[in-house]
Amino acid sequence: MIRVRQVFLAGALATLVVTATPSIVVTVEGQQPRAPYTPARTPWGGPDLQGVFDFQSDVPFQRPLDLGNKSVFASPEEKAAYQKQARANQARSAPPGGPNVGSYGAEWTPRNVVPNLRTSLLQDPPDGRLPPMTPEALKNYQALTNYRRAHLNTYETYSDVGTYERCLSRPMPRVNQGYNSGTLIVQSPGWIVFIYEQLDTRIIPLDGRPHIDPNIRQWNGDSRGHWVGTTLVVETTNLSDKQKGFPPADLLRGGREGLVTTGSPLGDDIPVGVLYDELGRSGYPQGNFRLTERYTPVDANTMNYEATVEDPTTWTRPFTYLMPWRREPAYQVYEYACHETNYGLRNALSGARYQERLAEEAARTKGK
Amino acid sequence: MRAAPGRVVAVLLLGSAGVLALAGGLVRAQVVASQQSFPRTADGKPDLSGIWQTISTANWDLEGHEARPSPVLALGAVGAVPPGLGVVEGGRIPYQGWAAAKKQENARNWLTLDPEIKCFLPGVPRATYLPHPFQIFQSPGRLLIVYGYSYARREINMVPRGKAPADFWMGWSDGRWEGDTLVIDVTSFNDQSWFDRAGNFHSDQLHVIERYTPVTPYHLAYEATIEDPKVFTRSWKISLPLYRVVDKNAQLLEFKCVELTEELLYGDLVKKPQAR
Repeated sequence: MIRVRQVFLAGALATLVVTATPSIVVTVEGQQPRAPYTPARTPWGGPDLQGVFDFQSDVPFQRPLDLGNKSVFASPEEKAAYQKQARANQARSAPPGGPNVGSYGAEWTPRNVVPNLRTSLLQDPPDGRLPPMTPEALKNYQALTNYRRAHLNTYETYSDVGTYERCLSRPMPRVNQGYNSGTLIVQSPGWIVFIYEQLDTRIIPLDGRPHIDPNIRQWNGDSRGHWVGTTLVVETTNLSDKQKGFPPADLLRGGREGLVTTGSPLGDDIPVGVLYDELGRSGYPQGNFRLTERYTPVDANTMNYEATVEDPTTWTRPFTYLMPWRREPAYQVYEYACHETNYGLRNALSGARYQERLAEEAARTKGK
Repeated sequence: MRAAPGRVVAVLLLGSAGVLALAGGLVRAQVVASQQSFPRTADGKPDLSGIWQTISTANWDLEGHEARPSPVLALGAVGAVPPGLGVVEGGRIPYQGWAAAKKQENARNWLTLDPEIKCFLPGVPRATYLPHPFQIFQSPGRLLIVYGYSYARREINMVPRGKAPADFWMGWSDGRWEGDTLVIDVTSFNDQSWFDRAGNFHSDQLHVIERYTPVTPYHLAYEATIEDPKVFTRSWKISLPLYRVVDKNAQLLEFKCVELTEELLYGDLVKKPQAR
């Protein structure tokens, strides 16, 4: 992807580079070269990225180890065959789980996957695997994981619950999510705003102003944007350390790893739902966290989203993932009134307290 | 007003017409001049983009009200209700009999019933005069409002999107221009939001017509006409100014109040509740 950035240098130089060298633009499908795309412009200047996009993906965050150096599938058929085999392997290795109490109906999960033949969202390091954590971060990460294992389903308090189930926030930066991932972009002179259907809003000034006071920490940080050619570059600091993801999916799902997986620096036994933690937002200080996002329109319907995480407190080197976004003109982003009727959280806490009372009574009866 | 400058200038030049006429002309000239310098988009419409906020006490009580003590004793003067002249045209909200009683009941139970205290979406027009700034984003065919309170947001349909597919806390907003006034017709509300902290309320038959009119580059005249045949005897109107936030590098900061209300809403169910 470094080549893409070289093509999209600012202003006249960009034109020079594009005309002087064979243009190499890596598209959403993977490796098909195409002519560079020039997006429409707003009346006040600068590329026009407005509209609704979706970014659902069936590509794992980290490259599965058995794929070795293979960064891109040769064809959709090859990818489909690999996915089929992976599913079969998982079904064989799955330990017996608990009773099936049912789940969301199919109407909740119509998938709208953006085509992508890459074998991982992670593009750098080149092996598609997360870099090692620092010893300090690894210690914190293991402590957090142990805490989660010990507190899974005990619902002692609301703050043990994922921030999504609390109707607070989704991961920052965004990764693949199951549904309601439509995102409305609106621009006005000097501003760009991202309306994520679920929970989060990011209002980004483009006027070069300084970041806010470092004492102010926000769930989505403090973002500043600027244009480099047709790429919107967004730098984010001031991120809060309060993000918490779901409990490790091996516990939730009896060891079965979904195809959509974030991977894990501890090995693939804690596959899903720990990305918040992997990005350094699991309750330990992250004053060094810096996020750089690049939004590059590659054709009329597709925009490449690249996110680079730099957090030397947590990671021994920066890493970058790429997740293509696709225009969805028919997608209406609706009001997401989640907190207003969050009976699930109240009922889970209530149920946990009820079970504790039952256990206490049982213990008393036994003692008699 | 846009046809008037020539005549206003004439009045000014012919100042001999009298002191009164001159004074009137000056006021009109100022209004015309400032309206002309209100930012405009490429298609000539007023550009409402920017950060706005009320300084009225409408969110405490839409009607005129005197100062009241804090409902939380410990907060003393900090939690006391500031007085306000009221923003309802004619002074009173025309409730039906049963609804007037329910409003009183709401007011008596403010702390347990007001959706704002629970960080629920504020509805319209309340979102406009909450004590938080909001930001308008305007571009051709689009208008978006993001409110500082809980990042409530409204996409205004400047291109028709047809009938609302459901009811919403923030309603379904269809926008259009009438001259230099942005008119937003808001329907499809649920019956959950309130108008203020005094218990003023509505049903799911609420219909709000908002009007945003530039007056100077730094303020808008805001009007909301409110209809609800289930609750009121007739339609009624509020009007208040909205001021442009001109603070250096102003931006909306996160006020994700959900996390600020969890102990209030769920504290009775946690294993070790915090001291209250």
